[in-house]
Amino acid sequence: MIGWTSKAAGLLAGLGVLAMAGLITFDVLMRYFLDRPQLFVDELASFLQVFVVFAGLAYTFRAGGHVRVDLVTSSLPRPVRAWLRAVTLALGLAFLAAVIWVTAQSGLSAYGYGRVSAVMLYPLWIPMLLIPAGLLLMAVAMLAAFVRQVRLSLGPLEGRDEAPPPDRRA
Amino acid sequence: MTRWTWITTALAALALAAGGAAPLILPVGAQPKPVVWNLPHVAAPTYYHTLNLNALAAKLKEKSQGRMEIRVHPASSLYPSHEIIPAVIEGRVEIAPVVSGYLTDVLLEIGPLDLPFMTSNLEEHRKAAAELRPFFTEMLAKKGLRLMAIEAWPSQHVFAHAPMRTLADWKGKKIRVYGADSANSARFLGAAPVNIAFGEVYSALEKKVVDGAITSATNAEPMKFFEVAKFINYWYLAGAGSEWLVVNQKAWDALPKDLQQAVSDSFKETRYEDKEWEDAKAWEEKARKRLPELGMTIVDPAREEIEKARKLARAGWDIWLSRTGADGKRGFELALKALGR
Repeated sequence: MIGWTSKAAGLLAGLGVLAMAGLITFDVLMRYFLDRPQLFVDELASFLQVFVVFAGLAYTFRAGGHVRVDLVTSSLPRPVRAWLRAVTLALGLAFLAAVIWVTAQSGLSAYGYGRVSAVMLYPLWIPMLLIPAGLLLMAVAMLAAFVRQVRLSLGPLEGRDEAPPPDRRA
Repeated sequence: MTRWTWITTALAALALAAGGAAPLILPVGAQPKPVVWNLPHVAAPTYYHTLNLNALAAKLKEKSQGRMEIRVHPASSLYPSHEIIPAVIEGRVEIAPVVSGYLTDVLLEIGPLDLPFMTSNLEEHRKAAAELRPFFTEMLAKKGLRLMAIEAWPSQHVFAHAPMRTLADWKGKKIRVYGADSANSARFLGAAPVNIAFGEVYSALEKKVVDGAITSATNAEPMKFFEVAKFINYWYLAGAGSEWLVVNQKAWDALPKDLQQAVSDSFKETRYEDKEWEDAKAWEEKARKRLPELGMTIVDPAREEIEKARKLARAGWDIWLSRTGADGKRGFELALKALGR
């Protein structure tokens, strides 16, 4: 279920990039050739950019695509590395929980004030709530990884190591 | 009692004694931490708004004998421009400017004087703003804000690659705008509005992404617009841009009475509000003198052309009224009355 949702969100993020490119090309062509700049493109493209970044978070995590520094961990004994990974995942979850809380509050506050974008007056709570939504999906993926990692760390000694990302590609 | 129990008890007693004596060994004359108010702003560090706020902060530090500080954060270094108003309403900062250019939703109703072509120059804008002070105070108080001063940004004109002397010269031109109201104005005058962030205006003019840009003449030199636009067309799209310096009411109420008095006295002794309007005028005059020296041509459209533009732009006023409800309508009527229209 988590894998399917992450993939679907990742696919939508990819389509978002395509939509952004299409919109910006449309605006440039209309402005350059027909002197008709499209005011809505600037703001819509900004919203899409937020969507692309946050919708792709969980998918990238499950594919092991986020930046990690393994200079030290790669030279640790495997059981130590396994537990260290569990600890860092727990810290990551705590950090995500804090950011989800703050960004959700911010989005709800924008809804309460009726905040809108500067030119096209689009409601701002929609792109703002995409942020905690994307982070929540990543937190669920991270929680699953944490559970898997703890099981592996408590399992047979020869199997104790960092669990590989579930959707890693060869 | 074992030896370890003795040692533990002795260490605990020592710790208690040290803790109990701590207040006694504080340096004589040590001050409690000062009250700090953070003030975010959009203006550059060398712009007159920032200079005047720094002077106010220095005076307050002096008047409060170091018990209170205002820390000015210029050039959107603490919050991006559109975040400043929610930040002060929610109490994330204690004091902040409400800049009319960023009134897009919250407090929109306090901006009738800033509608396109509503005022013609700084003097007229200031006089009307003074008459609307009770209205501003009431509207800001509804959002938990205390009005400290009304100030202004200089008038808005059009930097362009070609002279724009008549209304016909607007037709079909791609003009940089910065919000819904300026976009409507440009559209009603026959131009095609393009939304471009202030920091990108230079390259947009340079690469001819736009034919012109609406902004203040005082930006010609600091932003080097004179390098990429040879004409400045004095259309007075806004006679001035209002700014209200406000304090979060809860932050104000939390101050002791003597510090409240020190804040009020600092505003008075620095002549903060008067100085702001005087500087707006001085900077505007200085810019106008400086523009030809920078190689720019000043274009002054005929008064009749500006009147024609004002009539066309009025359609944008109706859009604003439809978004601001009863409070906006009241403010609008007060503004028209103050301006004798």
